[in-house]
Amino acid sequence: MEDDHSLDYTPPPTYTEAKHDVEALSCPSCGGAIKITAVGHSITAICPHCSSTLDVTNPVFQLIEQANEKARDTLIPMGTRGMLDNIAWEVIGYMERQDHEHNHWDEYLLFNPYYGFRFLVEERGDWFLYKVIKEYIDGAGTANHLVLDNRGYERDYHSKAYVSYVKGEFYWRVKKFETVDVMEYIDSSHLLSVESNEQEVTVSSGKAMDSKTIKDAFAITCDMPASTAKNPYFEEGTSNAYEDSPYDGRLQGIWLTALAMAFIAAAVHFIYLSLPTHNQLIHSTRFEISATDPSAAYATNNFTLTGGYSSIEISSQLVQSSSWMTINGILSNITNHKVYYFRQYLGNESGMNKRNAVSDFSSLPAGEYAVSLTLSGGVLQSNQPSEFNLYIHKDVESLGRYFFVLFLILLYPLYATYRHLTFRVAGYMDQYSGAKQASTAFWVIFIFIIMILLHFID
Amino acid sequence: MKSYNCPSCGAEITFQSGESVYAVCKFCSSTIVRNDDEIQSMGVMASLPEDTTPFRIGSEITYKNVHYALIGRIKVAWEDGFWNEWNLMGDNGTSGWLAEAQGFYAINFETEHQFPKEIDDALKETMSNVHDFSISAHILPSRILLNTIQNINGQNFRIVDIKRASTVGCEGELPRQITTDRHLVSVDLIGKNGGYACIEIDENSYSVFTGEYREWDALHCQNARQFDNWKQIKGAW
Repeated sequence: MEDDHSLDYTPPPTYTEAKHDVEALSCPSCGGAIKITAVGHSITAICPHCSSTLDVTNPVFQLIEQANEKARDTLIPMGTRGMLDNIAWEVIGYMERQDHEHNHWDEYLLFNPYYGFRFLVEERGDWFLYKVIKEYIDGAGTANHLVLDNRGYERDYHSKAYVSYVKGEFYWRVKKFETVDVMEYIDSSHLLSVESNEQEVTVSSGKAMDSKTIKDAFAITCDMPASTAKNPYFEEGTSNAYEDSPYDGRLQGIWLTALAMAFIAAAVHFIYLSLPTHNQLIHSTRFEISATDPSAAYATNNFTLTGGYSSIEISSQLVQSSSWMTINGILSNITNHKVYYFRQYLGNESGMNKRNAVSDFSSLPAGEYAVSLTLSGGVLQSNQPSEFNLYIHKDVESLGRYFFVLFLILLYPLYATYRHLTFRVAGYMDQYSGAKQASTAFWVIFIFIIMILLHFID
Repeated sequence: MKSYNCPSCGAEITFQSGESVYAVCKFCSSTIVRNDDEIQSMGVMASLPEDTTPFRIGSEITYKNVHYALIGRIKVAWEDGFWNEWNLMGDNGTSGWLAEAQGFYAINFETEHQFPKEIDDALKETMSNVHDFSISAHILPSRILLNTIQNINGQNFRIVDIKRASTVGCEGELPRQITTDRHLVSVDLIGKNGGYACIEIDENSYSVFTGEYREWDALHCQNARQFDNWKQIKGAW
């Protein structure tokens, strides 16, 4: 039967059965009873009575650091059990950690004899569940970008962190104020935390948890720390709020709608351009330039703008001249005595060859108008007789108008995209680069559009 | 499967695996060595320190469609705690190990691997000082350094841990004789996609093991150890 490998083997029921699932021994400092839950795993424990730090590797506990202070209360008391992801966890340890940028956060060590350990982290009201992963990832702890399981992670936090308070039991040698290097990487819904010192690099994979889920799981009766999340979608009761942005899967539709609207607006604009009322010449005057009187003033006859508000374009055209001139013009509304100044440059000297100049005025009320001008420039010294034409068109083509409509159309999709990009980070890391990049991009686009608009409206 | 009577207490001792040469009598804790067909008592094994391992002798797991029974265990201590190495006997005749530490489970198999000469020399140099606890395990010959990449059978692994350790006891049956306080240097390596490797160096030789980490659920463990105060593994209580 030497080679029989069948598994018809049943061990005696008493074999290696636990005598005690929990080890209860006493503190070498104060004599108080200490319960160890993760027996065989835990090597450091903090006495719940006197806060001394103990080595609990062996049944005879060794005193590492004596203390005599009452243990601090924690939001989730040691020994509390709760169900997360359908697995029962017992809170066996607690650490308060701080970084050198004055951030601090709480870490609860969770234990289940079958599933091992997890870290439940609370920072500024937001909760995260981490699991240490045994993966070697190229660049972990140094690079700005990591790849794991075909997911790309961007670094958005880096600092030195230390333990400022401990309670409970731990499977490693917890040392207060021991500093490790912490880097956080993030993709849309997953986190990677890399902690390193000279000895080792530990990578944990994390995900955001809903505050309500934690409160219910561990039957926390106190108020939960208020989330500082600015994101209105991160509300208590919405489960896994970080998992899905409200714009997930909707962005494409939003953009397609916007593009369709932009197309319709362009079509409307095109139809408008082809209307007979568009770009009507309402006035024109030909002026002869007086070579003898440089300060002569020129004026058009009065012309009338009818209807409501309209835009006009004043264009001038230099004829029969090889010189140049500057027009200082005043458009006067004779009805309400308002004046509008404009300046035009015309000529073909020093490399310039500009025979036409245009000034636009938008939203002029109906009424009687006139234009008066004074001239300066080389044309006045010319011996040749010169002339120029002044044309006034009503309701001219205005791309600015179209761009303004386009801007209104694009506002919502841009806003939605911005919210989508910043969704994961807005709540808990808004001061960090992820959100900054997205918001910078948004504002660059916004300012760019405003500049285009200003250019066309002028 | 082969049965004997314990030379110490007369109780039946079964060797399930043909590869097992060593067993601990479950009744009197005598350590038994099998040579050819003769068995011999080597002394008494101290009881293992209590722990919260989810396994016991007789637990069964599945890995890559092969069914394994846990037939023995070596408990190893190091400066910062313990780990368990469970001896696996597969129903396809293979023999392997389940390393269990801090809630991580790595299934691994011994492998023949020829390291480049400089690494081989460094490992042999380490063999000569496994008993010298005054030398930190981290100061191994410089060819074996933390975070360096080692290629084992075509797969890249990173050295993540080097530690001195010693066996504190065992139970069940094992493929080789284990003496308590066997000193060793253990080099842990991790690869991509859950890859695991280990180099175990004692005074006589070094052995190379490769395998993979597995989550508890993926082990499909049957006949797991039960805890009085952990009635429910999953679901509401």
